[in-house]
Parts: sequence; structure tokens; C-alpha cells
Amino acid sequence: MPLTPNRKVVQLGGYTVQRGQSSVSGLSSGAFMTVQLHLAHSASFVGAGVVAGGPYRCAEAFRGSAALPSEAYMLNSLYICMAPMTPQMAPQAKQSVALARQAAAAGQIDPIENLLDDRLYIFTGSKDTVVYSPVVANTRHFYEALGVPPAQIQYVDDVPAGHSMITDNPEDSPLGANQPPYLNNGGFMLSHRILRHIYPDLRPPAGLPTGEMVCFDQTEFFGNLPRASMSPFGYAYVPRAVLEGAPARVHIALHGCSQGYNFTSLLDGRAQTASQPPYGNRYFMTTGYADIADSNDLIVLFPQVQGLETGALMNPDGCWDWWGYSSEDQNAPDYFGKSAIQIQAIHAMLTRLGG
Amino acid sequence: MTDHATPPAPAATAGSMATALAAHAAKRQALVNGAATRTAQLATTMAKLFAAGRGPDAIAEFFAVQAAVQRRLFDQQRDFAAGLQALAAQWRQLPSANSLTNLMAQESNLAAQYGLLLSAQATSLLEVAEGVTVGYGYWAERHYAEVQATAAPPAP
Repeated sequence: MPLTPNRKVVQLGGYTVQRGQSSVSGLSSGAFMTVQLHLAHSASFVGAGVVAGGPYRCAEAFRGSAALPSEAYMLNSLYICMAPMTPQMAPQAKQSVALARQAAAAGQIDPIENLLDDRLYIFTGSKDTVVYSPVVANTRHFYEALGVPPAQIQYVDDVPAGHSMITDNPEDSPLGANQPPYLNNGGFMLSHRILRHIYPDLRPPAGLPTGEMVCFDQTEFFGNLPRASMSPFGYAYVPRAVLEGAPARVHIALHGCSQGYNFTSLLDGRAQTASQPPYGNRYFMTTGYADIADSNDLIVLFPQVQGLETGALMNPDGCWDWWGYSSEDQNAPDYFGKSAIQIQAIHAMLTRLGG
Repeated sequence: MTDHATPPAPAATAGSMATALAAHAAKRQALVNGAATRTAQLATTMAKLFAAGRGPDAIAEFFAVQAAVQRRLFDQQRDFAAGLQALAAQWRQLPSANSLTNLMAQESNLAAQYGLLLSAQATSLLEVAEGVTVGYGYWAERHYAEVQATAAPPAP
């Protein structure tokens, strides 16, 4: 029977999870958030997968781009962290290293030493025109400069892919495309390569998943505060063996912009509510995470973010916060540490699962 | 009677509209001023870099930026031309409309798509302009910081 989400909304439950053995991966804004979450809670993780994501706090690279910090970080995110004009204008790893060490010294994130034995899979498509490859190359340099041995980092930049999570689904876009829903058919599941690198002991998928895609109420994890820009529901794939009590590890998979289940695109500047595109659930249903999770007793958590554009909150594309839009104080944006609202929420979900 | 059933007084509506228009104009002016300030700061930092003997680096980066701008403008023109071709193909199919309603819907759709194409082109051009000033400003500030660090006297 093909995988379908459980239609009943439940409270996220706990399982027999090995603590400190979790991992995280993401695409685009999910990849920028992956780096932040990995740094903030490195004690919880053994590895990360970064698909088209830049180095830690790169949005703070150039304070001089606007008068207000929140506006400067927004401009930097677009023109330094995503599409710099030249490789020299991409965010520099050493700036991110300095900010990471400063945050660790201030107790805003876990000690940097936790990262040294972690495994990283870092991917950039050679045809990506949304987050340019020199940016992602600096994410690799950032981790190396923090002291992660190069042997633990798999860096891939030779696949002619556009900005996307790569799948082997015939319905997805051509490999070189740079367009929504940012799921491209490359004849392989990128999620499997990421997870196999982080956990070298993984067995191959054994066929159709037999576990449950649980739909849970996310609001309890962020106090239902609008500034979190998180959706009402999140999802978690729980393999059959784990449901029956087997010990598990947890992987967190973060979607990119416009890929949340309830994302609504804009048409002529207005929310297209009359015909909401249903590709929101494709990220957690069709990107292959559940297939390989099933044969390896991995719980896969899929937190969801939604697009909101109000006077106080500017996140029309439904992106994870990696430039500060969710901060209470727009003059001192806090989006990168343990107290950032989205990081707090995701880590609380991980803790609830038992990780 | 519920609140939403009570129409706002015309004076109140006009007042809030005037406030919104003023806020909009102020924001636009602030953003334009911000771009002007960024450009002025960039010019100042570049002058300092030249004065510090880093002119060759700045000129090399200038040419790299010019090449990048040309590539992006080329890509934009290609996408714009492809969009126009697609609209032309749709225009040629208009005679196949089978009712007045259908014909009008297709004509409106074409007009709306043409408007979107133009606004996307304008936005892309603005992105290139912003990208140059932000990126170049970042590059220049970083290099000037290196110059200052090199020139600083050693700590006693």
C-alpha cells in the first residue's frame, strides 16, 4: 500500500530514541536553517546535509547595506548569501566562524567542539541560479575552518542540477530546472545519499514503507505565535518497527521556500486562495526520506513553515528564518541561537520524540 | 449589529487612506535614500582603497562585476524573449475561442500575462542594480578592513 499521511491530527509522541544520534538536512532556506540548527544544538546531532545552503549567519555579512539591521540582513541574504555577483562577493567563511565562536562563548549555541566528529554532506547543483555554488563552497570552508576534518565532509558540486531536492520521480521537473516546486528528477534520491553519508551503516530501502506518516499539532511548540511563521501541522514518519518499540534515531528534514504543505502562492500580488497548489505535501511524501528510514528504524521529522506577509512579518515565500524576520527585536535579530523561536520549536519536537 | 456590518465613516476612511499613502511615500523615499547612501558609501570606500594602493584589486573586481552583470542581463533578455514568444503563440490561438466569454477571458489573460512579464523584467533589473551596490559595498568594506589591519601599528 503506498504511503499516505495519517488523516488524524495527534499530539507528537515519544519513542525509544538514542539521544545524541540525531541529524538534520534541508534544501535552500531549509539548508540555511539546517546549518543554524546544527550549530545551535550540536550536542544533539551527529551530522547534517546541506543542499544549496550558505554559511552560518551569513545574512550579517555586511552591516552597511541598509540603515536598519533587519533591512540590511534582508538585502545581504539576497545579494551576498544567495546570488552574489562574483565569487569574491559571496559570504566569507571566516566571518561565519567568528560569529559562531562568539555565539558559543555567549552560550547562545552549544560548544563548537561537538561538531568535530560530525559528518556533513554538502551539495550544490552546477546549474543552480537561486543559491550560487560559490556560496555553498564557503559552507564547506566554514565547517573545515571550525575544525571538522575534510574526510568527514562529502562535498558534491558536479551534478548539473538546478535549485532542487533531487529525486527519481518521473513527475518532478527536469534536473537542470530552477523553478517551483524545486523537486527535480535526477534519477536518484538525494535524501538517500545524504543519510548514507551521515550514517554509513544504513541498509538500502526494502520496498514500500510500512510505518506511519503522523500528522501532529505543531502550534504547541511555538506557542501559536504568528511571528514564528510556522504552520498548524507538522509531520513525522515513524517506521513500523519503531512503533512496536525498536530503538530509533531521528532525522529532521527541512523543506525549502514555498514547499510547506499549506504554502499559497501569490497571483498578481494576492494570495491565490481559489486554487491552492497541492505540491506542499510532496516534500515529505515523495523525496525518499521515508523509504530509507523504514529499513533503518529512523524517525524522520518534517517541521513545516508557512508564508505570511503582514505589517509586522515579511515571509511571503514561506521560508525558514535565516535572516531574522521572526525576531521580536528587529534592531537585534535573533534567529540563529537556541532562543530563536523556530530553533526552539524544532528542538522541542526532537526532545518530545526522545532525541 | 456586528462590527463588520457598520460601515466606517467616510471621513475616517479618507483619513486612514491618507495615512497609508503618506506611510507608503515615506517608505519609498527611505528605500531610495538608503540606496543613495549605499552608493555614496561605496564611492568613499573605493576612493580610500585607491588611496591605499589597492586600485588594481578594485579594478579587477570591477571588471568581474561588469562581466557578471552582462551575463545576468543576457539571461533576463533570453527569459523575456521566451515569454514574449509564448504570448505570441497564445495570441495566434485566439481564433479558436468558441464563445464571446471564452474569447474575452483569453484576451484578459494575455493582457495580464504581458503585464506580469513587464513587471518581472523591471524587478529583475532592479535586483541587478541592488546586487551590484550591496555586493560591491561588501567587497570594498572587507578589503578596506584588511588595509586598515595591515597599516595598524603593532601592539606594544
